[in-house]
Amino acid sequence: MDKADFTCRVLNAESSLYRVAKTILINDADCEDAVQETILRAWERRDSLRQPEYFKTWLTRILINECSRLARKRPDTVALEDCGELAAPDGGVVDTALREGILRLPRKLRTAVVLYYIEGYSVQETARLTRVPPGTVKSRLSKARSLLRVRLIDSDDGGNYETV
Amino acid sequence: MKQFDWQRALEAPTERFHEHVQSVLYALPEQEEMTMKKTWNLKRAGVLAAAVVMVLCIGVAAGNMMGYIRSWRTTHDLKDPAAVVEALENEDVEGLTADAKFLEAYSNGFAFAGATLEGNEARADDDPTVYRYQTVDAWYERDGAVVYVDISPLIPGVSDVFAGAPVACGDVTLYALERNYKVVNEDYVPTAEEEDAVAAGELVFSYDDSLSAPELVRQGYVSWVQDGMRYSVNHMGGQVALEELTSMAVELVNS
Repeated sequence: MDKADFTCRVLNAESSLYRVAKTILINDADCEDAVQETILRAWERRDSLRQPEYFKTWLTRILINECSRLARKRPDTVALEDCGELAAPDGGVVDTALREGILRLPRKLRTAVVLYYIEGYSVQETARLTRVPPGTVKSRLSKARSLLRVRLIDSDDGGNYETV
Repeated sequence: MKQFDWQRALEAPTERFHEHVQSVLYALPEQEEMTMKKTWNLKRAGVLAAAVVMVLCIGVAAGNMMGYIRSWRTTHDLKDPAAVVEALENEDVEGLTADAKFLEAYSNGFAFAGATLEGNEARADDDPTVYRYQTVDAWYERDGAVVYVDISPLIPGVSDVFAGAPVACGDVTLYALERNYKVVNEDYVPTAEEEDAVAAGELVFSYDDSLSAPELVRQGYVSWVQDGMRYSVNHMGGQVALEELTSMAVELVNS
């Protein structure tokens, strides 16, 4: 894989890398550090990737390792800043309450949520990416759903979130 | 009533993040230098390879699929039992059939709480054939405890591994297993006793690099084959005894 191909693949995965890093680390500066280290490690190891069609998954695995390494030096949850209105990837507006609900989850739960629900990985893939058994992934998703359900209904005066 | 719109849950990358990524990519060398760093990379690759082997061993010990490759379809949340029945009856759903067993609730109080339909590709280690199939993973809740019931087609060489003590249930043989999962970070070194427990199938290691201290989780797992479908009833956390999981499996077999 040459530099041009590698660059193109990384840029195609950029949004996904941002979402995963942001969910695990929250702090933008930490996200930049983790993604920088991820790109460098991936470049050094590019010849170890035997199936280029799985580049994004492979890159995400490296990113999760980097985020975990950084996360060990940080508290599990951090104070969230008031970000006002944020643009969603599809051009719409981010659901601020859902975003805050996810970012307030314990790190292990929000990692499972971003990989499974937002990035669309299956339970098996999420298990491989996070190196835990599929049963653990399911357990974490279940806990995350329960916590989100409680927090979002409690925070919404009109009870406008449907339980899922 | 608003549902969770996961695609609006997080924002797009900031301009500053994008510029940072571009600058890192721009600064990459065209060619890697032959330095001590390459030796370090080989050693690091060996550590990662060992972790991958451990994950695959975990997959075999749990009676799960070997040689798993990737998901080929976005998962679908099945929010009520009717949606599960519809998915099982859908001829376009690969591998699953309308004859697959499914219960809305169990006599011990566990009631349907949700399910997903996942499409995966897999192959056995010694066979290049790639199998595409779909699975229904349902979860049931009772007083905060969760039990998972998974339904998938039986794929020879991929999902026909069973672990645990055999339990006869009419023409069907259940395999019941109870063990500990120890969640550790990558730096953890197993004790000799733990290595013996792993060899005996009583302990499985899984990895979470964000952990500062190990965590122990108890898992009960009952699996079987019936009419070409593979089933499992499993629980993590120790709130539901293996005997009760086995009773739920018997109830599903006889439904």
